[in-house]
This record gives sequence, C-alpha cells and structure tokens, in this order.
Amino acid sequence: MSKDKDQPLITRAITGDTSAFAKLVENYQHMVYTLALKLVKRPEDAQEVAQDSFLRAYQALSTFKGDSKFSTWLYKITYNKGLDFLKKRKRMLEINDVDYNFNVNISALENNWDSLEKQEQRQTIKNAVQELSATDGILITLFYFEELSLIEIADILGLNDNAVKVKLFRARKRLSYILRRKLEPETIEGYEAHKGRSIN
Amino acid sequence: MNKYKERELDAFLKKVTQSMELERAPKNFSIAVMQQLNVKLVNKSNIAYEPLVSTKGWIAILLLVSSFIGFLIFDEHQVKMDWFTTLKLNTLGNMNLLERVANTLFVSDSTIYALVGLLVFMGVQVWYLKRFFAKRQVLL
Repeated sequence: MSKDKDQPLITRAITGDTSAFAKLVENYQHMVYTLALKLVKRPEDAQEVAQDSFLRAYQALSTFKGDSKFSTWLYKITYNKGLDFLKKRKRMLEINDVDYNFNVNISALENNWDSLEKQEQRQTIKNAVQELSATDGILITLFYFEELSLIEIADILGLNDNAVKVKLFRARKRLSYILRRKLEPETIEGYEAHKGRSIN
Repeated sequence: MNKYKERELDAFLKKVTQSMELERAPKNFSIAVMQQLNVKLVNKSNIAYEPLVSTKGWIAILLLVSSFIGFLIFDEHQVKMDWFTTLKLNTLGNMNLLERVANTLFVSDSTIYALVGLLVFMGVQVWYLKRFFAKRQVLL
C-alpha cells in the first residue's frame, strides 16, 4: 500500500480518530499476522504478537515521521515484537544456514509448475514456503510477495542491505530446492539412490 | 550459481510467488485489536498523570521564593524587633522546649550511626523500588 494512501488515515489516527486506525488494522492485519506466524509458528502466539504489534504501533504513531512507508514501519514493529516474544518464551529464531549446491534445471521446473492446476500451484508454494526457516520465509514473503526493496527489508530486519542480499540469495536456493523436491520427486529420489550406490 | 542462472531462478520465483497467499488473520481480529485499544485508552484516561503541584503553582512558589531572596539581599532597612518585647514572653519562663528535651535525652553514638544508616538505606530503597516499578509499569 502506498505511503500517500495511508497518510490521511495516519493523520486522523494521531488526532485520536480510532476509526481511522481501525481501517489501518483492517488493511494490514493479514500481512502482520503472516509475519508473526512465520516467526513464532503457533497461530495463537501469532495472534498475540500481531495484536501487540498494532497496539504498539498506535502508541508510537505520533513518532512515525513518514521517512519510510507505513507498512515497512509496521512490519519492523511486528518483527521486533516477534523476537521479544521468542526471547520471553526462551525460544530461538529459526535460522537455516545449510547452503545447497546443486544445479537446478529451471526450464524443467517451470514446465512442471505450469502443468499444475491453479489450486495445486497455490498449495505447492504455500507448503514450500512453510518448509523454509522463519527468516527465509520472511525474506521471501517481503521480497516477492510484498515487493519490498533490499533497503526496506534491511530496515525491517535491522541488517545492512548486503547481508540481506546474501541471505536472500541463499533463501532463493533453498526455496528452489524445496520446489524441485515437490515438483520433481522422482528426479530427487533417483539422485539420492544414485548417491547412495556411489557411497556404498 | 552464475549470474544468468541466478536471474533465471529469480524470474521463476517471481512467477511462482504470484500464486502465494497470505495467512488469514483470525476472524474478528481487527475487532479484537480495537477492543483492546479502547480498553487501554479508557484506562489511560482514568489514571492519567496529574502533577501534585500545577505549573501555575510552581510559578507562584518560584515568585515567592525569589522575592523573599531578593528582599533578603537588597533590603537595607533593619528589622525593628522592639514590638516583640511588648508581648512579655520572657515572663512565661524557659520557652525553648527543644533545649530542655535535648538536655535530658541521651542518645548513644551507635544509635545515631544506626539511624543514619537506616535513613540512607531507606533512601536507596525508595529510589530503587521507584525505578523497578516504573520499569514494570506498576501504578502505585
């Protein structure tokens, strides 16, 4: 959602118009909930984190200067609230550092993807993103779904844009590995069997 | 992975993620948020911070104190106390109660040390507890 579109609602909310803030909640509830769910994994915890994020955003609304998009500012609050929640529950943020080195045939993958029904495509990508670690899932969602820039993502995650670039590169590879496993299971099985024979 | 492959993968993932959907927030999520927000706003207005001495009060105190100090510094007239003798208070005997009590009261050095220690300890505790509760946002 654009900066300009949110600004009138933000101005009204700052002056105490709660109905304007309710509209902002309505607009961003699903994205905030999605980010919270990727971080904390359990739906009931995600609901708590998402609610706390909106309450915190309301309290801090007067400090929002409009230097960034409202959505970026809100996602940053959500991310930090999620981390606070994990820290409070003595749980760790899920990170996957495994670096996959494989040659993927994108054209074959794309053909398999195109052969799927729309509903199957939706389910496949949903399951694939769910298999990613929390940070990878957030990166992929913010970059591809929300179409945020590397700088905006870096601002949300509190990293520099180079670090985000590297992490995104790895997340892409891990997602393509998962997708290949889902779209070409027989190829992977064959490769694993061949690898097993070579080891023996 | 070379640059070409990287771009190819990026384009493929852009295509794939078009089918992505967000998780749906629970039903009535926004209503629940606004209810919590309203509860917070009501509580805030009920227990809003109100200073014991208002700004006007502080200005009045400041004026009084500064005029008194000004009077002490710049007033050159001697204060005449001859009216005091007309009260004939000297006929009532020793009026200095504090001196009389102090002459009969014996307090050992260790008691004084203990009392001073207690006062310091209380001072630190008040400061520490105030900070502790302020951090936890407990209203006393």
